[in-house]
Amino acid sequence: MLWIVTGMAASWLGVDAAFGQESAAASNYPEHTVTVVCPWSPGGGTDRVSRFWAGALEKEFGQPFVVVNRTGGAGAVGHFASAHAKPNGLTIGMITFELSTMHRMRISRLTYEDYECLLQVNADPAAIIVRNDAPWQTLGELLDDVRARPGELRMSGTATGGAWDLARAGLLQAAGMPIDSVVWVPHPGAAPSLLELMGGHLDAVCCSVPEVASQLENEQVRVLAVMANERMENYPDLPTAKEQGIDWIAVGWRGLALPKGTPPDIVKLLSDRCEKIAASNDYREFMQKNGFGITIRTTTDFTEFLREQHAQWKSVVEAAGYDKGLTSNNDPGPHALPWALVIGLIAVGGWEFARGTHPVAEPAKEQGSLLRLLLVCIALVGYIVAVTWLGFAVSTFGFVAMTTWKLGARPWAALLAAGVILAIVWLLFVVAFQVQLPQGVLGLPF
Amino acid sequence: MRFTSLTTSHIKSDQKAHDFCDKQYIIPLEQPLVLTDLFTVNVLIPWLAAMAFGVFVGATPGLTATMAVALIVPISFHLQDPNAGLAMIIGVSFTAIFAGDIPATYLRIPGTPASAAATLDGHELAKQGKGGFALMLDLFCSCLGGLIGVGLLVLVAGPLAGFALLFSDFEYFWLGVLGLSMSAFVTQGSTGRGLIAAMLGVLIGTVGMDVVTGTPRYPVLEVIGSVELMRGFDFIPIMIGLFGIAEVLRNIKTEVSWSASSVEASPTPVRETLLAIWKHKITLFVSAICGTFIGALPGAGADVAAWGSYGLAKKASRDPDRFGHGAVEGVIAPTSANNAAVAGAWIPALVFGVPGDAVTAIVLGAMLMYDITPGPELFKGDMKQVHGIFWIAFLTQLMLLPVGFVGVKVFGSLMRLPRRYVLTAVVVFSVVGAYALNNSLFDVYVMLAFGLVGYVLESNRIPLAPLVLGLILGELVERKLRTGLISSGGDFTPMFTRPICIGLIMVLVMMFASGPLMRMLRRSRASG
Repeated sequence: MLWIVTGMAASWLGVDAAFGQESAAASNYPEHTVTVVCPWSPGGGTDRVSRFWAGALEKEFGQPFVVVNRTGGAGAVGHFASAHAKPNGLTIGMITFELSTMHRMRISRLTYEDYECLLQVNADPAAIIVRNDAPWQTLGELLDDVRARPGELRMSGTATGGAWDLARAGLLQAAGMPIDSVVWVPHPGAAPSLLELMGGHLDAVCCSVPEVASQLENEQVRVLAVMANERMENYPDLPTAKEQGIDWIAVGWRGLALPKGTPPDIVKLLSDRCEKIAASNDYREFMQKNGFGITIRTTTDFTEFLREQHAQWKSVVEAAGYDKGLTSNNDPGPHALPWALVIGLIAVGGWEFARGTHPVAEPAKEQGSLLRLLLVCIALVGYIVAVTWLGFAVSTFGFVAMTTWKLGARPWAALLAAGVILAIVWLLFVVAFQVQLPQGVLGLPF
Repeated sequence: MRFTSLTTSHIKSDQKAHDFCDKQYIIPLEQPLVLTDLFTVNVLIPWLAAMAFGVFVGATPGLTATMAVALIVPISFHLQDPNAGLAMIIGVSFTAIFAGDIPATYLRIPGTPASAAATLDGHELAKQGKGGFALMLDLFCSCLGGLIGVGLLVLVAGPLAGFALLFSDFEYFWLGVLGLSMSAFVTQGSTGRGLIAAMLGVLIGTVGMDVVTGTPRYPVLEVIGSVELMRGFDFIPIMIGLFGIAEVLRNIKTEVSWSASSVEASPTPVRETLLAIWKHKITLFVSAICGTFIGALPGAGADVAAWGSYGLAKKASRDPDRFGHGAVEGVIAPTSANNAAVAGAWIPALVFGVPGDAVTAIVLGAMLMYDITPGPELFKGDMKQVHGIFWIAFLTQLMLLPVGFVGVKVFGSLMRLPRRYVLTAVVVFSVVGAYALNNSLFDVYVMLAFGLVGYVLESNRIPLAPLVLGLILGELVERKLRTGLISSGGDFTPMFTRPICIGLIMVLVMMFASGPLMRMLRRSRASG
């Protein structure tokens, strides 16, 4: 009983503290660890950029900024997480190109309007890439060939409806050609597409130039056109599509944003610091090493740019028919396999059931208590629920101490075990891997 | 833009290269790399430290080799010697894959997806009190498998990569089908139940985004409003649940003594291990070659390699019934194959500059920062950088022996704690491991749910191994079939007429027909 009362008191204090934090002004921002949500997986380009920004902001504010990868759903999951976080400045979202198109393709309802845009940090134009031994020397030659035999040449670079698919769709549209005159083969990303290109299974790839930097350097591939307004600073030899008579620009971009409704003073503070970092030498060096292009747009410009993007991609998505769905005619579709499996399961399951179990030697019925099993299951669920409310540290300590004690350990041994396990988790996950374990309403460190 | 040797790379005219060399923390490998460069304190200490870290990460379910490498890369840039950086990265990737076998053997929780096959015979051996022996087998075979993989990488990287390039969607499809058929061979008991498990695995894998179009596959889930379910299930929480939590639940239900240790004190006999390996040297060799090749395919990794060679070893065995009951080959095959696959993944990375898996993707990014541009040019000229990488990979296998041995010993002594502590710790680490992957509590609930699913399935004698295979391979099979059809314009004929497809189909037919054929032969010989 005492425990319940103390627990309730503690949680009330926690709630109070949380409200107290929200009303605090930007003067003591950030009170504790800030999360930077990256919608793409560790090791990729966006992840690297996110980690740079987290590190730079950490130096700037003297509080930990931790990158959290929330992947999946073509970026929808991560964007959703940062847009719907508490608007208190303690969650910053890394937003990418897909934000401009995901609502058009009904992957998500999110748009740039769900964010307070902080700063655009990067832009890389799309490019058309072919094998070094390919017959086409210019974009015009490739497009003429496509006109001559529509629906025969195959391209890839990302999934159907991804940034680079839309870029090439827009290019074809700008050239006055039907979008399906090239077959877009969906592949998970630029790297696998390049392998298919080199194996001769694709005719051209559309992706950003940094993604093919090493193949370009090794003269395995050529760039026919870059879809930028002017030639790239790092690659002055590569011609633009505009030079070749097709007025079409497509850039993949990345930026930082806060959830809508973040207090303006915090937005101001963060955007000032971000601008400072963006102007630094460190940032230039980092981006150049990675081959990423730098394009900086500050809050209002960035919002304006996103509004333009929002409009630009509407017509492309609609012309490609992606607003109605992403399946191609030759694709058995997303439901073919699950249905086949359900039918298979019913068939085999029925056969097994009909055959009965008696011919096989029945193993000795497992001894034991079902009641204990049930109790443990309840305890496990209770533990996870407790993690949500009390935070990881408190509930794990409680869980380990309680369980080992119930299983016959002496009280001091149970407490010691809880302490040791907690210490190992803290060292390995929190310190080494910077995992943000649930803090619960108490706002304990982890 | 030529890149024949490192010294010429310095005077590359373009501005990018210039800037690369100006930076103080990017040190080009100026001198030809000789072994003495590697045997310095500045290299060896970070190298060993990274490998020890790799043991920790690999042995902790939920922390993957990819995460370890991603974490090591920024640290390695602080080191003055680029060899030290590369050694750390390569060291971590190989050690983590080996260390995944340790909890798989002792606790039946695979530390990394590549170790899921070790939950079969390795864990059986541990139950028979021979866990130390199984892990010594794992250690030596990981080392030898790695050596064979690196050897193949050195000798035939070019041709092998060229062959892997010939694989297009339909070839991967058949390879996936071949792998799924393996589930028929890895199961013990009823084939029907194995099939049910495999289909369940594929079905679970279909939850979430459609693999080809990227749209939600089951719109019902959108109505429920669960973003997490729309994303689908991650493999690792499911794996931790199916094996780890299910095992805990079974223990809870049947256990009587909580103070006994979970594993018998088991010796780690070197002599016995070496003898066993010598006896099964062919299994080891074939598994390692098969593993290297699967690793070299960009669509498949160490996990597929481990299962593939397990199935192959069982198929080739004279006495396949021993598999799943602690067969030595069942331990040797997957563990040799998965380390070989790590080496194999380097083949497309070095030859084409295109990574074979997530780990090599990160490594490639790091190599670019060291001013090493992977690609065919790397193999021309005096191949200094390539030799450096080869030596590091080679020596890592040898250093794996002492580092891994300490890891096995430490873990083994932890296992001798009373069971009440071990089981509780397993629960906590399963929870953190499932959570850490995506920072999502949803994954933790998924893990718990699959713990119960695993328990119920095994109580009904439905094996879990085919379910895991279905989860791993279902996506590959579906995606490759559908992309292949989109690519061919809906035409099925290339699926049966492309030369490599025909080869794979023949292997498939042989695999299924060999059993009945042998029986027929034997019968006719007996009667005649």
